[in-house]
Amino acid sequence: MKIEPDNPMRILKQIKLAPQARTIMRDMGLFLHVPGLMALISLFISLGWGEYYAILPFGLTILASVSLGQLLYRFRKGAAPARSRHAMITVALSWGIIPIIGAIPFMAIAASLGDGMDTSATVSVFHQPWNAVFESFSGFTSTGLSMALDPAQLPYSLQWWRSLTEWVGGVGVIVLMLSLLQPATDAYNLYSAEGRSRRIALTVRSTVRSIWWIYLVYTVFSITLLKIAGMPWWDALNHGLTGISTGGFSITSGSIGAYAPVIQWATIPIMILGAISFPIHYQLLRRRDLSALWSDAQHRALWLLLILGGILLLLENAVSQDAWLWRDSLFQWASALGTCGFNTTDLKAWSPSAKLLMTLGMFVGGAAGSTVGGLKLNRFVALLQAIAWKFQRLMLTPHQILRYRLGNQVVSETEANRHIESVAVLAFLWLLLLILGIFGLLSQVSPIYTLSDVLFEATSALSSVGLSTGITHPDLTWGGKLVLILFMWMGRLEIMPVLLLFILPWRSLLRRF
Amino acid sequence: MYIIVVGAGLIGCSFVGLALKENHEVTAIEQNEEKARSLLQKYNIKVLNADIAEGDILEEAQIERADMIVAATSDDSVNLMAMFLGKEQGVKNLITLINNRQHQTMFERLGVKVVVSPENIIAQRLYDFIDRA
Repeated sequence: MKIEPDNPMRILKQIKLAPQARTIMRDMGLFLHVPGLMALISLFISLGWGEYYAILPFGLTILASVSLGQLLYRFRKGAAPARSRHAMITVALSWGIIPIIGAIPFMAIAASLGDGMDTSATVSVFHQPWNAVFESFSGFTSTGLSMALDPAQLPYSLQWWRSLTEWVGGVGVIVLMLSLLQPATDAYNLYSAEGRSRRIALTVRSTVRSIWWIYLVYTVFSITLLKIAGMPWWDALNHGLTGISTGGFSITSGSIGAYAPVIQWATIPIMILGAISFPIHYQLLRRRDLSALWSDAQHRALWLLLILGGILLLLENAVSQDAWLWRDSLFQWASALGTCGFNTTDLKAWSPSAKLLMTLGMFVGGAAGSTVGGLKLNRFVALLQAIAWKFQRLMLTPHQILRYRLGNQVVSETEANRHIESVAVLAFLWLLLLILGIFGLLSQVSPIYTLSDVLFEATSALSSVGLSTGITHPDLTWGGKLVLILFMWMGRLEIMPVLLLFILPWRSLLRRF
Repeated sequence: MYIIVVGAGLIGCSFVGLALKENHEVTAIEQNEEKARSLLQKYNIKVLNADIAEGDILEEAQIERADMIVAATSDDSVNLMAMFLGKEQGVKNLITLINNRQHQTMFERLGVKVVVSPENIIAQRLYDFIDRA
């Protein structure tokens, strides 16, 4: 008698899962369709450029994305409404799996181009899975560290795919968090374009829609601005996508430095726009209210830091290189603080102090609620505020009580303390992780790189910036690449969701096993 | 003008708001912590969370440079104490709320401007409208 193999779908249905696990799988299933949709759009780009060898790779990507997505989505039955803990796990897992699917085009296109004489070294690098996965992680986390030796040598399909991953990845975290998080949480309010509106279910969708709308408007604006400044259409399209998403991939060997000074100046406002939070953009666009740019503490800090840091970097370069590098200093500072990662110059030549200053900028990052990475300015401001409170408390007369002002509202002592505690814990975690990563990376890189180079590179990955001192290179050991990949992943999601993934009571999610 | 307000109930709070609108400097003394904090949430002023009977509290409020003390608690003995201490320190303008009409003469003997029971004032204002009509 022949034993009939079980229908695999039936086995799947027999696995007993806790409702929360089903929720996680359902939501992940939905999100895993995204790279498929992106590959579908990219197909037209390949066709447009006549790169027919890219059709199969993108087809494979669509297949992998949709089948995996559909498989997980099958678990939707009996799913419970998502709680923020599960939302965080969903986001962490999705951001770990989507880039792996996103690595398919790199590997498959490299494979279909073969190893012949015509294939450039830049493409051959992607025969290695580590490099393809690295590039994809860098894209979906809108970081911009690149394994491509010379992006100009990449096929148009891959240039486009890199830009598109950054564009989607940049806004993706915000949209994901928004659609999954409970509308009452602080994180939700941060992203809510309606400001303090609490009309829940209705506004989640409209908020997501207004974010996409704002994002599209700014993207079109960026592309047009670059075009007017003198970039060819294809270059303007790619750099527009990677600029507004604070990603930083480029399609030239010298990043923005390959273009005329006018274009370099024009890129600075695009990078700054990317570092401004969406609620502020909303007020700016809808209410035509310019004062919104100055209305809250974190954006005041943004302007202040942009000016202050730019001047400091200019002075440092003036001292160490004996030249007034106006354009390079201001550009690199905006690129570091806004966590964009475009380059106009080779940073290897800059002094350790200049690199350290930029490392600090990258560590802090731009305004929360935008596409930037890093600790973000609202937390930076809160920590400064806590220092101020500490001193104010010392100055109080015996019975006087302190007024706690957070942002634009006065809060109770308990609220203030809770907020500062959570920020301080995160900042500490961030530093701890950075130190661990620096140890890890130091053991992997060639001794020609100094500690300041390693610190710079690690911060650049953790804050999803993408500026590099040269450590990110196909020759880096797989261990080094892994450290940077983990950093990009954890940093983009602000560490907590990924840590939660590791300490999760996995057993409780599987009922039977 | 520098004004010290004792008591941050409804009336005290409103008074602080009016005084701040006229750009006066205000310090408030309130013994209920919750009330003290809610006043601080509304206005950015110096608030002392203390009982006025506690020794040096008016010194902490820098009474020596005060131009006016307003007592607006619902306890006449607290109000009296504030007025007495203010007089002792030579504060020029002393104003108090009185909750019990019988205490009026005692306060007036101290040379204090008195506002008798807020309910009467409101009633009087309402009556004035009839008069004019």
